[in-house]
Amino acid sequence: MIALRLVHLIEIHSDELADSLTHKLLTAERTRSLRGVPVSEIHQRCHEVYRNLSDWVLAKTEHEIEAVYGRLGSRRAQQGVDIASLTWALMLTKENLFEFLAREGMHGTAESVFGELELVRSLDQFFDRAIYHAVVGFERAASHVAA
Amino acid sequence: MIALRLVRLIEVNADTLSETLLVKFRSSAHTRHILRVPEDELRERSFEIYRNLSDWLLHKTGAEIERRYRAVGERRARQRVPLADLVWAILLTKEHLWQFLEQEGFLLGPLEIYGELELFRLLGQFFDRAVCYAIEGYQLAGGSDVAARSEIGNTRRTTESVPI
Repeated sequence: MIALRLVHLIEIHSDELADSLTHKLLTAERTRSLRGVPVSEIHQRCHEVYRNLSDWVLAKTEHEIEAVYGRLGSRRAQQGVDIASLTWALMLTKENLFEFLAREGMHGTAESVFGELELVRSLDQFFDRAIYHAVVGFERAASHVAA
Repeated sequence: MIALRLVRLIEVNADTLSETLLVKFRSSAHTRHILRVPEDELRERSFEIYRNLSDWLLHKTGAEIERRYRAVGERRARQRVPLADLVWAILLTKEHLWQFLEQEGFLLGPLEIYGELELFRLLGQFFDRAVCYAIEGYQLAGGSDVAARSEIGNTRRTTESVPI
């Protein structure tokens, strides 16, 4: 059974998580080309993922992840973000979450640890799919621009 | 403390893991074009990772991972593998490992699971970085342009071969 306690903890702290991630994205060297995207848009995107995490991890279909992250990739290509920065940004979104979980709520008890592992696995799978579809969307948009 | 028992299990089964990963590459629609890379090269690449996993996870520096995966990205760009296929292939290499661990030796008990969580974290970090560095290398080699030209070429060839 997935650790719903932790999912809710993330959702409750989505504001704080979005703030810290936005700061990382705007200051990290690897995500430099994201600086051309309006800050409010970056913040809103971070907040949306964290705020609705249970929905993303437990309810959304592959098709929905494809639609949303394909669009994100395409938009970032049109905004002049490079594909490596976009991928690092998605990785940092996950890493920011794992750092928060390690600090705030993971490794609770022997009974809860299986649910925690399942959550980590589900999050990892979700972000893998998000990255893949973002790359597909990015490449599609970039090839249209090039054409 | 990382679950070394599981790392060793992966290393010992590196041969089988590489073979079965190739089967997945062949059957997944997301890695159709990775097969532009010679099979021996694909097999050798995944075998090398699985066989030396403890080294990659515990001893290699960030700079070594960066150097290795940038080189992979550059090479795949020259081989005209679309970037999305390359990304999925790396992610599938990780997923394949997880499925193996679940089947073979994972989730034994609460005492061991902390080491398993730590292993999961390290594996995730390693493959995340591998994907990002491979994309950087691919980008450096002008990969999207190369692969797009190749795709256009393929489409043209297909279209031309269809009688209208």
